[in-house]
Amino acid sequence: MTGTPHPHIVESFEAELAHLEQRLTELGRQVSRQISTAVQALVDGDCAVAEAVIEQDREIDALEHEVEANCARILNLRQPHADDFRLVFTAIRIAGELERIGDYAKNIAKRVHSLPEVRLLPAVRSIPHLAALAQATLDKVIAAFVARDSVLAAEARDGDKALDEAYTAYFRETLTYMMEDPSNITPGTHLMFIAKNIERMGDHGTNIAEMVTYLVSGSWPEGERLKADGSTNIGSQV
Amino acid sequence: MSAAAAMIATNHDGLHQPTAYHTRKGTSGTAIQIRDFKLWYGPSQALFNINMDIERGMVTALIGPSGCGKSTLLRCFNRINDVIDGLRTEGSITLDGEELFGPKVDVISLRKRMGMVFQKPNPFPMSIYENVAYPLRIDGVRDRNVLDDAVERALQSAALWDEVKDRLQDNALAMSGGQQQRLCIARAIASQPEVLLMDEPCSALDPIATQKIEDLINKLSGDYTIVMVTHSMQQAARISVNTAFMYLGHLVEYGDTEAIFTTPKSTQTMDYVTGRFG
Repeated sequence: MTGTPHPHIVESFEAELAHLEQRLTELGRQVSRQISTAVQALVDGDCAVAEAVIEQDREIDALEHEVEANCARILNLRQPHADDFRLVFTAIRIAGELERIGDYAKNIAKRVHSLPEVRLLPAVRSIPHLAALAQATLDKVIAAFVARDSVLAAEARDGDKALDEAYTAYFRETLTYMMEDPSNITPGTHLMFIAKNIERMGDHGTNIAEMVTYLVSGSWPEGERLKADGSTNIGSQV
Repeated sequence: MSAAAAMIATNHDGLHQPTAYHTRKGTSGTAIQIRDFKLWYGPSQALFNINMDIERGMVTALIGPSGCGKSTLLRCFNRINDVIDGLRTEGSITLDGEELFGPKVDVISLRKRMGMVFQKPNPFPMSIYENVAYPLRIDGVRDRNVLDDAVERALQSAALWDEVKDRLQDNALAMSGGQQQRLCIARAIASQPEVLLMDEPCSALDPIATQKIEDLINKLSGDYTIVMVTHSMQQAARISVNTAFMYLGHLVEYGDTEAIFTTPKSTQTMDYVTGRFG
């Protein structure tokens, strides 16, 4: 069941659902911008931009609360059914996932703010690639949500494998720098946390992809998603 | 014809839409089986090719906009439509395998097997006790002990005993609307029918009385096969196991209530349950 072209008889309900969808999409777009801005602050060592990312996270939190309040109100007053119910149910969860991604972007910005010289380690050059993969997943799931496109959502879910692989490779690379020179250990550790934050963004993106699939089809995706985070095995190979 | 066959049965009326059929099955089998059932009021056809199995011991809700045929279908089960001039039917409805519309059917016996509760509480203008004892009395029961036991059992089952046990001789019309409706349920189950038919049983009640009736329906399911017409989709969602959506005399979708209200298969059902109809 992929929805219906007919509007609701109660126009105010129709407007409430449209508003909810618009605010959730806006939340997704703001979080996506936070990722690229935080990573740019890292690469440039720009504390002012990092500070702006930290500040912007408050707005993201407020927007998440607004979406949740809208959902609570609709559930309480409208008791939605079928695709309306699925929209409200998934909106609550998607908003939570987006807020977590926003937190990770803020964490990146905090590390830039407290240790701008982290950018001097060559391994920083791979971070924008990791971030671009996470952002691509996020942008794809937002587009899938807006278009009610379960094929695009499945693509986004499977696409996280590339980020996992890149993260595993990055883990090895950073370890190498740290083994070369102990003075790299502090910035290297910060970069590993940053990379882990980005890898987690991808995981939250796939969670959203699964919710979009449920929103569109009424059933959850079958089977485990494709994973390729091999970093947990690296210790035994070093 | 099996449920699977019913699933692919097509309507021959211009809609050309097969019934979406995905019911939850009980462990006690089918109580009422409807096959290719059609009904006319004079020249006007009100029901088209209805095929459905109503599970024994479960609550089945019939929903749909006014005029869709849900009350007409409900009233076929105990044949109280018979009194309408020009009524004509085709097809088959069976209870426990016995045809309801056969020429040898004893309608009085049939109605004893099917208790009915209506939109507005309709107690008789007599005592609480006599209301419940009435179906047994007309069945010839005279033994006071038997009547006392039956009245107490029915009032207990209808969750009314504690409220009325000390005033069984009071006039039933002095009770509140919710109590009157529970009294009607007690009366309907006093002669221990197999099926309870309910035609919008809560539409004239306040929210508290409605919750008591819904709680009662939950408790009675299992012992009785309950078929309920309701305009409250929340009510259908709360208390039924399977829900049938009817539109313009057609059974559009019949399935697991949770699926009907979360992931309906038919666009018409989706439009109706989400309030997009019209």
